[in-house]
Parts: sequence; C-alpha cells; structure tokens
Amino acid sequence: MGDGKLNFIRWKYLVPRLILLLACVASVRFGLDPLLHSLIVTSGESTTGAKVELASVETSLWNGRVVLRDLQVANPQSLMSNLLDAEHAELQLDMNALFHKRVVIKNGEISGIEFNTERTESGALEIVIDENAEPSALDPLIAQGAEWAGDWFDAASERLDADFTDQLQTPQVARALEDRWQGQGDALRKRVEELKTRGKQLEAEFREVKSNPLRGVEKLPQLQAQLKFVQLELVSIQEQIKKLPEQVKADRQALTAARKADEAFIKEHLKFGRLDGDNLTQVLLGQPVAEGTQSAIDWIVWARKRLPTNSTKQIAKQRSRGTDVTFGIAQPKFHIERLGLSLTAPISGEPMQFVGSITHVSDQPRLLAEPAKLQLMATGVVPATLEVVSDRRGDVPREELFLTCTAIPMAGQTLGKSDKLALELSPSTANIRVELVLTGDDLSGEISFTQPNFRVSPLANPNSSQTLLAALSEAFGKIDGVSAEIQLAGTLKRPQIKLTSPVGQQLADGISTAVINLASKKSETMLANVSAQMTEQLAKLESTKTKLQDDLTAKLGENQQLFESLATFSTGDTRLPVPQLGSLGGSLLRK
Amino acid sequence: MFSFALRPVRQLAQALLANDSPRQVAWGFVIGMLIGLVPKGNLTAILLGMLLFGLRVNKPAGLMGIGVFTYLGLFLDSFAHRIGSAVIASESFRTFHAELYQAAISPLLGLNNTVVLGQLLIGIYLIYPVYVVSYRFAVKVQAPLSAWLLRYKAVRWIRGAELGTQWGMES
Repeated sequence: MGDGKLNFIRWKYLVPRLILLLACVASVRFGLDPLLHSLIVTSGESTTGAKVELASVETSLWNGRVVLRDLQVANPQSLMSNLLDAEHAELQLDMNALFHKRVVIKNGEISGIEFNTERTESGALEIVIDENAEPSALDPLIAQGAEWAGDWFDAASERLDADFTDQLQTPQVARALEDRWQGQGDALRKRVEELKTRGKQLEAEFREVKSNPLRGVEKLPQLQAQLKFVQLELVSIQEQIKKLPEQVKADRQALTAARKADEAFIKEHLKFGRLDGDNLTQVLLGQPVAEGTQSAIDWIVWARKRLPTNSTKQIAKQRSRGTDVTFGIAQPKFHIERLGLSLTAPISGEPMQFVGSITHVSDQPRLLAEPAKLQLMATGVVPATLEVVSDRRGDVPREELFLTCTAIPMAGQTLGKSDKLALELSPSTANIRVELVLTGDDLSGEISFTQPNFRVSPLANPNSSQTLLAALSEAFGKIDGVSAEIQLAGTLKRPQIKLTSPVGQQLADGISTAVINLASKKSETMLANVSAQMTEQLAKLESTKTKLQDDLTAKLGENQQLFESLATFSTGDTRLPVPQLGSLGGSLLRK
Repeated sequence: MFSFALRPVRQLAQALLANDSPRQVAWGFVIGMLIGLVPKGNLTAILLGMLLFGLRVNKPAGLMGIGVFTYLGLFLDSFAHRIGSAVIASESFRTFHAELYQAAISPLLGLNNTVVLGQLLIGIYLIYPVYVVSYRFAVKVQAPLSAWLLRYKAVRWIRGAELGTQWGMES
C-alpha cells in the first residue's frame, strides 16, 4: 500500500479512522431514532414537569422525514390524565438547514390530537405543590355580587312571608274599646239596678212614715237625705248617658288614627328597593365568564413562560472570533414553517374535531417576517374558528386571540348557594366571539356572548317562600335569551372584567316588579282587613251604645213613677224636683 | 504511564532526530501552521488535522506549527477579519460564497466566518514562504543538531524509548 503512487498517505493512520467514520455513520443511521426518542422525551418532561411517552420514532435522513407515533404528554395538574395525546406526527425537515445547524420543519401533519385523555398509570415525575397559588382576582367580584343578590332575596322572602298582624294597632284599639264599653255598660246597668232597689226601699220607708206620721217624724229627715242622694245618683247616671255619643265619637277618632298608623306601618314594612341589574348579571354570568377567562389567562401565562422572551440576546451570541456571514437574512435555529393539526378538543364537554395549522413558530421570532400563528377550524355540529397570533418580533411581546363559535352546547347548571338564591340554568346553545389582545402584560379585549334559548328558573329549598318562587318563575319566564358583553382590561396578574348584559337588568326589573306587586297585594289585603275590622268595630260600638242607651233609658223610665211618687212623699222645703226622663231621652235620641 | 508523561519530550526529539526528510518536516510544519491559524470547531480544522496525521509528514513539526501559530493567530484576528470580510463581500466571490453557503458546505467548513476564511487565506499565502524557511531550517539544522544531541545519554535514552514505543515495547 505504501509502495505505490499514494505512498505519501499514511494508510496505517487513515484506514482505522475511515473505518471509525463509517461506524459513526452507521451509528447515526441506526442510533438516531433512539437518540431522538430520548431527546423528545427528556426535553418534553423538562418542559412540562410530567411524564412524556412516545411509542416510536422513525427518521429518514435522506428524505428529511421524521415520524412520531403515540405521543402522550401527562398533565402535571392531573396525574391520571394526559395534557396532550397525539396519534401520529409526520414532520418534513429541511435537510439543508440542518447542515446549517438549524432545525426547520418545512411541513408536517399531526393527527389524532386529543386533550385530557385518561391514563392507565400516573404521569407524575414529581409532585409539585404551588404554595403561592392565590385565589382568582375575579373571585371577590363574583362573591360580592352573589352575596348581595342572596341577601336581597333573603330579605324579600322573609318580609313577604312574615305575619305582622299582631303588630297592627287597629285590632288592639278595637279590642280595648270593646272591653271598655263592655265594662262601662255593665257598671251603668249595675248602678241603675241599685238605684231602682234603693228607690223601692225608700218608697217602702216613706209609706211607713206616712202611715204613722207621729212615729216617722224623726225618721223623715233621714229619708229625705237618702232621697236626695238617690236623686243625685240619678242625675249622675243621666249625665253619663248623655256623654255616650261623645265617647263614641272619640273612639271613632281613635280607631281612625290607629288605622292610619297601620297603613303607614304596612307600607313601610313592605317597601322594597329595586334589585340591581349589574349585580344580578354578575351572579348569573360572572362565574362562568370569570372561570373561562381566568383559564385562558392561565394558559397564556403558562405558554409565555415557555416561549423565547428576548431573542436579541440569542442573536448577539456569536462565535468569539469573527463574524458568521449568512448571505441574506439571518435565520432562526428552530423554525416550524407549517404544521398541520388535526385534533379533538372538548367544548362544553362535547368532543369536537378541529383541523388547522400552526405556522412560523421559532425560537428566534425576531428573525422572521411573519408572527407565529395558530389557526383551527371546526366544521361539525358546532362551527368554530380559532386564530392565535403571537408576535414576539418587537421589544414588547404581543398575543392576539380571535375565537368565534356558534351553537356551543351549554350544559345545564346551578348557580348560587342552595340556602340562599339558587338558580337553575337549563341546557341550551350559545354563540361566542372572543377578541383578546395581550401587549406586554397589558390585557385588553372583548367577549361577546349570546344564548338565544336561555331558560332560568329558581330552585326551591325548604326556606324558600312559595309566593316568591312563583313570582320569580313568572319573571324568569319572560326571559328567552341572553346576551353579554365582557370587557377585559388590567394585567395578566390582575385582570379586570366588566360584564355588561341586559339580562341582569331584565331579570332585575322582572323580579323587582313581581316582588313589589306581591308586596303591594299583601299590603292592600292587610289594609282591607284593618279597615274591615275598624268598620266592624265602629258598628259594634254604635250598636253597643244604642243598646246601652235604650236599656238604661227604659230602666230609668220604669223608675220614673217611683221617683215622682217619692217626691210627693217629701213635704215642705225638702221636696226635690225629679229629672224628666223624657227630656233625657230626647237629648239622647238627638245624638 | 511513564511513557505517556515523556511523550512531549520524545516528540520534540523525534521532530529533530527522526529519519523524516526535510521535506516531510517542512510540510508537517506548514500543515501545523494552517491548523494553528484557523479557529477550531469547524470542518476545515478537522480536515487539516486529518491531513497532518494522514499524510507522511513530520507530525512533531506539525504539532510545533500548531502551537506556534495558534498563539500568533490570535494577534492576526483583526487583520484576518478584514481580509475575510473583503473576500466574502467582494462582488467576484459573492455568488460563489452564497452557493457554498446554500449548499451547507461553507457553514460546515466555517468558511462563512470572516476570521476562519481570513486566517485560511493568510495561511495559504504563507505556505510557500513557511515551507521554504522550514525546509532550509531542517536541511541546515536537522543533521548537526541530531549528531549533537545524540551525544547525550538522556537523548539517546529518549530516542530509544521512542523507538521502543514504535516497536511495541511500551510497558
């Protein structure tokens, strides 16, 4: 070998190295697949913090083709489910770029992508507990709204169901007057009876004195004094009978005053403020909207942590000696030009087929002319389009998300607390349009939400007022659609949501009107009862008075003769005038 | 182990005392010069290294050339950058360089780097003068120096060790 024309070559050195080179080529050919498998699994696990499993990798360096089968990425938050499951992925690499130490996926297709699929074994690498996890920034807003509306309904229910008849004055005054008239009548009758008895007794004694004047002379002054006392008692009773009409008049005024006081009391007690529509909107829609928005924001934060942040530093990192001339525009080290996607994702619990692509993804987006873009489209029962644009070419990263989805199936759900206000939303469909822009940490955007066949009904619980439930059902029955506009602002850490929807105001108006009408009816009923009680009491008073007057007058009339004869028994200066009952009766009757 | 520790000394002695011709010494030094000048970490440096070890040239002279010109090359970087930039940017070579770059040859060889190209051109430019100088140096110095050195027991012992190593007598 060394004796020929090529004797200047040191074959002893060269041949082993050529053999070694061939061995290296063979190793790459047959060892590349396991190496790539290991690289994908290791880098995936370090990125997600959970298990990454890959069934097989096939590469063809000649064609620049890489085929992955059954890729499973475990969900670090849910160990028994996969974050991502891809059945088949075929990537077409730019081999020329590979010789430039760049990985460029010119084209590719990933099919059979599914999310949140079940795992047979745990996907945990290590359990990471986020001790710094804080409640959502939107939680207080929802809680405040729900608390407010719950309190309003509690108060309304309590006041509508309360029986406050005992607190009304009219029945009490009526009872007091009735008792008083009863007592007064009994007392007067008793006095009349005693007067009659005493009169008869005096008559007997006068007759005895008259039959035996000599023996009765000494007793006569005493009898005359007693007669005078009886006559004064008679006058007193007659004056009291005269005052009865005035007393009736005073009692009528007392009853009227009590009724007026009761009217004011009922009105005050059954007076309701109107329910705040904005608060009710928060109760009805705040929770799902906030949860959805917070979830989207969490995903953006998660993705941002893993995307290249400052590509300028990477570009500046050149070899220490000299400058690499790239003969054109500098190219990123990693670049996905286009990757077709075919995936199944759950929307409101329903699996939906999406087809789309992801383009211009790079580790140095600053070097690309186009921003990274993800486009997905569903053309099934629920048509939907999703476009996510991530522009990190400038100094401030900017993400845009556009989503339109029609006829999303909305599962029925229960909102609010079962011991306070709980509302049941029936299953229906909804249309949603989302425009979300994230510039730096500043968040802005708008979400439009319409639900044409919206049905809401109140949920009964043991503490619920049946009348209130009936009123709410009537009010909710008038709502046949929901539309809402959600304005997003603030930052990623402190997002602010302003939810505006006529549904809250519609419901609030309906509920307020229903409750106020209910209160008004109850108020009218109570006032009618009070008025009836007053009228009845007044009639009873009049009747009692008339009966008492007639009764007393009759009894006093029976004794008229007796007192006149008694007067004739009296002689000289001691004779007393007997009051004429006829004039008394006349005056009484005039009243 | 002992033999490994003595290897640098043995190689120096070998460069001077080996039976290689002055041409082989000169070519070894020239190739070592090229390797020394060119920044490492590219296919050009590897190919030059393979040339040094794959051709029947004086390896120790090549290693010496690498050592000397790696140090000198650092001082020539800015000059090499200017030369490399001028050649890459020149209208005449631009298309050629672009084609080499697109074919992924120049990135692997590192020839799209201004300093690599500049140092390589400097090295190519210096091939002839360095060859002539080193050849003459070898012709003039190798034989008398060999005779002078072989007078010393230590050198003879080292040379013996080198021959022993070459004949497979290393323990």
